[in-house]
Amino acid sequence: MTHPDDEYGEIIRRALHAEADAVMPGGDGLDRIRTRITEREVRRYGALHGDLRAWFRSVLAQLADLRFAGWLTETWMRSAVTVGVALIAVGLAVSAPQTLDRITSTGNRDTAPGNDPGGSTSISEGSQAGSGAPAPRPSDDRPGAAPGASITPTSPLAAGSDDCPSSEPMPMTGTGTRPATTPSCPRSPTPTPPTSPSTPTEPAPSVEPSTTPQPAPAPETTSGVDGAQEEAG
Amino acid sequence: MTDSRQGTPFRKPGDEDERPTDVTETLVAGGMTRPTPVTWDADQAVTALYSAHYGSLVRLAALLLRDVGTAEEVVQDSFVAMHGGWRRLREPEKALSYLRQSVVNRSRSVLRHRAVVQKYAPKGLPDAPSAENGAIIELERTAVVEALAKLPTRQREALVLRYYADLSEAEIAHTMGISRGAVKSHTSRGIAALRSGLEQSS
Repeated sequence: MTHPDDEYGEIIRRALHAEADAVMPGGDGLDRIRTRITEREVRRYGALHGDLRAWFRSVLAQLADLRFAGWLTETWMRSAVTVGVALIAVGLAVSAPQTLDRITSTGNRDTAPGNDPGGSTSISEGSQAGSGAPAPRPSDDRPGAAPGASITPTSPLAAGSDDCPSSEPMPMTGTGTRPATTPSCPRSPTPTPPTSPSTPTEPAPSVEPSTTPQPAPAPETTSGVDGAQEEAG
Repeated sequence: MTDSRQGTPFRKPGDEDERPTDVTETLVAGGMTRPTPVTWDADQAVTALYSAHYGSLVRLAALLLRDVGTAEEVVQDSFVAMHGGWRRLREPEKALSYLRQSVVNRSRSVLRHRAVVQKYAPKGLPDAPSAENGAIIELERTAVVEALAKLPTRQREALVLRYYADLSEAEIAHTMGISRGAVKSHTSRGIAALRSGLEQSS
């Protein structure tokens, strides 16, 4: 026996389906949806962000027609934007004058033999291993003696081989950065960071300790560097 | 397919493991039971769901609102809302349920607003077929639709979701935001009222 509700249910179903089949949605529904999404994003994030997202969306929509959008997702888009922003930030940082100077000074410091880990190590080893070997040649203990003429920090280091670097400022960095490799200083194991950020290019004769016999002549320093390198070798 | 577990989220067309685009994929959040969660982004979801369900959702809204233009606006607003809340949705099934629920809720809001308007402007809506209209083609269909329009909102929703969308009681309850017992009540009362209205009209 058919339930009355079932009979009316069938009547209702037929009528509703017939009524619904008469409804024909417009073909521009998706465009309207995307337009509203863009408008909402503009209201929420601003015009630039909304336009950018709309542009990306239009690109993705076009690619979707080419069935390429499967691998172009919003995640990829965000990653690309992130990478681009990072590159821009790096470019700005590099273009900063201070950053350039820092890099330059750092590069000069790096080129100094004293900053060479191998060289400093060799120097330290030499000074430690050979008690007398490095001693008679203070230039050997000067890590940055060779380019001392051009690199301020090397001169004090070269000159004051026996003096603790802690007593001498490290003007080369001028930023309080401790050199990567401190010259050998048997008396002062802990080198101190530079205290006076003087001009890196200027020599610092004032830092010369009394015990320093020579103010860092270039040829000697060079030889000292070579010696240090030889020791390192 | 397990290749897109994590290492290769993007596949280019023409690849051996190219994902078919003519099927509905089930996304598993977290991949606890199955691997391969190929995550749609919001734009992809809108495009895919539009292609698959826009027409049916517009028809559903049209049955509730009896106005195709308003029905399209309601459905489009639902898509926009889904796009905005896509981060909370990760499965196509849930997205369709969300859309359907959003369409019903927005239709209800429209009807409430329309009731207020009609209260102060009791003129009949131009799209509402009247008994004097000689353009009626299918008497049964028109009678049912008219009787349906006279029902309370909840009863009409329950009947449309049941006899047009063919949803189960649980799905109707979730869409309408009520209990299954309430769904049964609205359905039975709606049918009774519809029957009474059809008998009176005949």
